[in-house]
Amino acid sequence: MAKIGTVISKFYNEYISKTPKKLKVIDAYLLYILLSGIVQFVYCLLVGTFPFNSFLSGFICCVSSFVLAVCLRLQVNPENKVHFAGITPERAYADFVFAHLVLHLVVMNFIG
Amino acid sequence: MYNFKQLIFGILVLQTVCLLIQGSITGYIDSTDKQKFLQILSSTLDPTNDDIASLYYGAKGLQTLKQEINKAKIPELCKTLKAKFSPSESLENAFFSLGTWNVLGCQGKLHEEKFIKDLPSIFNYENTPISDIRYALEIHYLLKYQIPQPQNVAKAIVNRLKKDDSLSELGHALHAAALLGGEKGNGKFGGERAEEAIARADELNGRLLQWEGGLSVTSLVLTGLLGLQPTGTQVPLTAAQADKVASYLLTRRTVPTAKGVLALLEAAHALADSPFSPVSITIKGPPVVTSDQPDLRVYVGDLLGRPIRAAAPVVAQSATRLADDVVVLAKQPLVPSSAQGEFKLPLKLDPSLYKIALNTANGASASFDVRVLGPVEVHWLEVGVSDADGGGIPSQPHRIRYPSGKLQNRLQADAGQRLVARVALSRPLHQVFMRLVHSEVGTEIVFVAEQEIGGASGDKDAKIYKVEVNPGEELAASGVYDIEMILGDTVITNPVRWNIGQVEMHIGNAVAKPSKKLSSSASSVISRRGPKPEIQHQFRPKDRRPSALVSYLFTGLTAAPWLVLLVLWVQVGAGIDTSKFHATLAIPYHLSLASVLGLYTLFWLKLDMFSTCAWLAPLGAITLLTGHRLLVRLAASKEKPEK
Repeated sequence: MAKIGTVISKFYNEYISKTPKKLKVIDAYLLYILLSGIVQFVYCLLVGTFPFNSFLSGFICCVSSFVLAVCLRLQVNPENKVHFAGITPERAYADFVFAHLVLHLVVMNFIG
Repeated sequence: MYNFKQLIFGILVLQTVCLLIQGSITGYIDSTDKQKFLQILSSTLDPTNDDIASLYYGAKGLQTLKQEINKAKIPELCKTLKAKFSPSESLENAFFSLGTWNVLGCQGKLHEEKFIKDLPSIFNYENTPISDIRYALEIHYLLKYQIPQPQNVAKAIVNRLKKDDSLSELGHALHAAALLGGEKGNGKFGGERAEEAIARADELNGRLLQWEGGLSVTSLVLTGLLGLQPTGTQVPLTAAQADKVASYLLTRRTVPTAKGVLALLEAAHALADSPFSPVSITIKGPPVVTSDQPDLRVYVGDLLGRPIRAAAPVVAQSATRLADDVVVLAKQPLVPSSAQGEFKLPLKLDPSLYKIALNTANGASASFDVRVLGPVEVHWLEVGVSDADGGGIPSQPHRIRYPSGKLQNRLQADAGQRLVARVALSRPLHQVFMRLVHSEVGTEIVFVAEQEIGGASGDKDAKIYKVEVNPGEELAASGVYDIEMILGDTVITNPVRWNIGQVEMHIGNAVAKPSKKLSSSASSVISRRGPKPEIQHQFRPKDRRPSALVSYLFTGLTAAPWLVLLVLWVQVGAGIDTSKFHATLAIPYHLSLASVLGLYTLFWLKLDMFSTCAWLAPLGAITLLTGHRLLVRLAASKEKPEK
């Protein structure tokens, strides 16, 4: 038990000290998306799915935003530069914004 | 062997009889029909009517009906005819004008000599329809002019028939043949075509005969055929065919137009005046006689209701009771009545259904189903309550006399007993019922009485019917019931509904009173037989929504992570890096991005996809431009320090 405690605290310290600030901002955003999705899912479990299309669009919006943000984080991470050689962080950000614009148009159309 | 010979002889006799006897038709054009026709024709014959054809139908129809035309109208009508006469327009209308002029007896001449002089030219055209040739011939005939070169006209018609032999052209050709003198003159082709015309008639259900095209074509062909007869042409129409055509004409008595009325009248007159004139044997009034009025009135005449002298005497060959096929009457001549063509057959028979076969002296025959009605007498009625093991015989039956008798006291019966009624009638009936009606709730139940076989009773001839009610099994509720006897049949004159009293039923544990009280039997009939309640269409009900409080709570909860995000970002130390901040690009970029998201919100709330796209295009372009410029600038500023 103590070992797990030390692992966690070490992991936390490493994260605080070594992770760039930009990635921390993205991680905070990811946490926010995750929490929003969880709250909606809890609502669905407690109250019901009606109106179903609204629930779906809200929940799917969270899931897709999460996926997009993870993509952004992967592409922006300096350690992954080898894999995304031709893609600058600005390009990744532009993709992220464009994907979001398309996603939200669809979500708004579906929300009813 | 002897029997066999007899049988053969019998069959031969029967065949001969069958060959001699011809059929007949039922119904004729009676005074009501004529009255209706008169009304239609008179209303058509109006000076304000522009249509020459309908004026002709009206005038000719009234002439056919032998009706006077209103003298006051005639000058006006003649004036209209004069004003409308334009022979160059159509030969048909010219014929109608001249025909009407002739029927009305207008003074002077409608036509000019030149018209008649030019008329024969149409015979020489290749494409003149036969109808026009016929009308030209009719006009010659009407104005008493000689037909020039009739053999050439006949040739033209024969040639024309080779090209177009539709039924109406054929009909006109038959008329033209008669006008050309038929067999004796130049109309020999009429006789050659008559057989074909008859062969082209259509039979309907084996009962009616008509020519395709309805009443007007049928009338045209029929009058054409029958018009040939006096000119010496043999028209091969059989009596059976004539009967069927007549039957068809009778079905068209309801025709509402003047054209149809004239067609019907002309055809009927032609048929009635021809040697094929069908005999109409019709029962006047409903085919029902009673013992008070036993005379069956039979009318024998032609299609137009005119009596036929040769028809008398009329003989009822036989009357057969349908129930058991017993012949009850044979070869009884009918008594001529005071009205011409009417005969009476007294049917003093037992009440029942009979088939009557009639023959006229001129060989027509018909058979009718006739009902003979008679009264039924109720000798007595017994009603009482018996025990279940009493064999259905009440210990103390109450005898009631028809028609005023009634039970003195209310009967009492319980579930273990039987209500028994016996009724003695003068003859067997189809319907003998006992009806029990709950005096409070109005529910009713009807029991069928059965005829007792060999019932012991005083008078031997009486037919006794018995009905037995087991209250425990057959009634639903306790209470007081009215007892009613119902006697009915198709052949009685005095159907009976007789309220004979009341019975009180005690059914013990089976007391289940219907909750709904019916005000009268009429309302219950309406509820059972009347219109069904209107069906209201129901949409699927909407799902229940959670309460507003829960909705707001979760709206807040869903938004709450936004605060978490802000707090975390502040902790991480996110902010605007002023060193890299390009206000000229960053502000428009963020504004345009925000406006796109705002547009999405509007799309959600009120806009449709088209207007959204129209707005999105410029906003998206601005966002793209500014975003691109901004990011290029950012990338450039990042690269610079490395250099």
